[in-house]
Amino acid sequence: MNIPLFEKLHSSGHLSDESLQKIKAADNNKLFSLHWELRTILYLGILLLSGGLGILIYKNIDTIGHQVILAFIASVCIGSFWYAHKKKPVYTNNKAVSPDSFFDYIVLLGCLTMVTFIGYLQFQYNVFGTKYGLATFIPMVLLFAAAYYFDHLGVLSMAITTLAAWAGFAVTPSTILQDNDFNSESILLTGFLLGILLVLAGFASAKKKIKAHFEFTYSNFGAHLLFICSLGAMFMYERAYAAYLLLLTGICFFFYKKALHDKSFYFLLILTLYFYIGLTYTIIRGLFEMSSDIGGIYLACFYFIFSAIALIIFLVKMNKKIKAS
Amino acid sequence: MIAYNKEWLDNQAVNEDIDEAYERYLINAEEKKRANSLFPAGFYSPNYFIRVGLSILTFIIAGFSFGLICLILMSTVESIFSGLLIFFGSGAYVMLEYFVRQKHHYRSGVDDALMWIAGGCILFGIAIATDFNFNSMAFVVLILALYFTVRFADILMAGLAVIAFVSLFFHNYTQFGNLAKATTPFVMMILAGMIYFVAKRNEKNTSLKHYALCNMMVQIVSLLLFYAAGNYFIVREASDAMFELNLQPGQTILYGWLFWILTFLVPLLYIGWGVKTKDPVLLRIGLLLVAAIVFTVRYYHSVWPIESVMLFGAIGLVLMAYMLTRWLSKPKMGFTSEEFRGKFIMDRLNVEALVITETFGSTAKPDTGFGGGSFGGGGSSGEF
Repeated sequence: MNIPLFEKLHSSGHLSDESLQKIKAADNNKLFSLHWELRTILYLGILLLSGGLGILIYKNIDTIGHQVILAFIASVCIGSFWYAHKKKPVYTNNKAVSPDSFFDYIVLLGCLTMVTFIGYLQFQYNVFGTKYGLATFIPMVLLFAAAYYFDHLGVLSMAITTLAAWAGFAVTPSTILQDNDFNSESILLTGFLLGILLVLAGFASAKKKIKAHFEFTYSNFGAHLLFICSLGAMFMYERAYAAYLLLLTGICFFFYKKALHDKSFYFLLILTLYFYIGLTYTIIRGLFEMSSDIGGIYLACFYFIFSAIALIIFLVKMNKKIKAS
Repeated sequence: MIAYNKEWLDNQAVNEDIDEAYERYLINAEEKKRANSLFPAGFYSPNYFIRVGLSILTFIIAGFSFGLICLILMSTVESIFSGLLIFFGSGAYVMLEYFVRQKHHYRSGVDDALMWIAGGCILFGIAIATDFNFNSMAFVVLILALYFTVRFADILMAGLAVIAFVSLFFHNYTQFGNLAKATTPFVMMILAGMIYFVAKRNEKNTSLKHYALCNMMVQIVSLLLFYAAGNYFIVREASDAMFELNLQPGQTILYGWLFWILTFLVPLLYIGWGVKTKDPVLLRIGLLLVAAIVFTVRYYHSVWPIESVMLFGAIGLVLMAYMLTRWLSKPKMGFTSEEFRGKFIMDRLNVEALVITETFGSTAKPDTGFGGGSFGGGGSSGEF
């Protein structure tokens, strides 16, 4: 703490006696927080644990026997949830303060083993038969329940990815572009509906004040889904790409309003970038359909330079607007 | 020297102190607002996300401007390409100075992007002219990075300058014959250690206060280099490759035991010293390098199967974190497991949640028995 600074502020009457006392006390009693170091260690521990268990089971499946493995996973799962249940703060519709980092990661471990357990049951004993959807639907419901019950953003994200998986969609950051086949109508439609559902869920959480801090997670997944699906549709429907530009513009406008309302620089950035991709695709296609000689390339260069300058001006203006509001 | 208005930089630093006091609930919102207004800084520093957007767009503009110039000069471009790059880089630098001096940009994304464009173009231009000679390239990187560090107090440039300096030294020192080759690791350790101690000594130097973050970066890079110079894996493989030893698996190097000791000892020393002096840089680098110990040992000795290492490591880590969290829940010896800025960590939790989805998310994939992900899309859509 910069004590001379605060003393100067105090003597010029900008700081109350009480605040100066607090600052001096904090400075005398200087503490070094290991919070994020410990959280990272826990994260690595849980990551190694779930990975190590996976390999152990995979290698020894012939010698241990399925029941033993299942019992082991179940006991880890039940143990974690039991611990978490004991330590958990009283349920509230607001943000519950987690007792400590260890609690958060035990909840995560419980959820991970729960998902593994159900997956294992289905894989080995086919308990859900050919109702494959059920094997993802049940974990999804349980994950959502756990996310609300223990107030855990990480579990909520897992629940949303499971929901998407149940609908046939991969939505983790590294797989969303790779593992989905955007050249299929049904997947695009699913993506749109899922996106709308998630945005609505976010909207409802904020409006009804039921875990309002979950809003960002819902909206974030929803927004990316909607943007990526409208771009996907634009690339797929060769003839109607201009129509999908309209759809993209509409979605962008919705999130623009939302970004202004929530003062979210993050949403402002992503909507700008997605819109820029869509617009650029449309214009470059248009240019090359009109002329295929060198003139088109010149025009494309000019388009990129001027459009990027325009967007810079837009972002600068928006930054000012959000900061001022 | 530094291109920014020094008074504004000082005010900005003061404002950060005030913000910290506010986030730790030491002063109230009104006091913070009043105090902040006493120290105006006229920099244009947009929000972090806007900064990302502005830098992407600046890269687009620069790239297509360069493309356009190449198009116009199409037939002659090959013969003058290196000169053109240097010219373009200089132009970017002039723009950078303009934005910083006239428009008061400070970490706005535009200045970050222009700095890397200017540096990259000039470097690449000179590299083409000198036929990608290592010494001249490393020298140019060193000069450019030093210049940008001094002029714009850029953190990454400071780290790059250290790396360029050390690799230049390394490249030339190893040319001096066998004695030099054999002593390379120790000389490199001494060099990195010297850089670290110079940086550490100047940490509180008020005449360098605008370079505090650069100083931290220099410390981080020199600590990593110090460890790398003594790490068994790096010393063995580097000397094998460079001095053509043709080591067989299982064969060791001269003084191999010494490097094994260093591989284990250095991170523990970092952690111990970091705890003793409450130095977050030393402590975090030390913790990070524990992973390097594990990887080095695993690379040469796989006495335990991987899953046992993972499981025992995991149990050890979780237990350690649990005990430390418990033990430090009431502050001990100046350490605590509590987070000071409790109300202000929502962003970090969101990032954490994203990391969790990314690394654990794949376990939640359905085993549908169908190929591909398109399963159920059309059918289930009716249920929404």
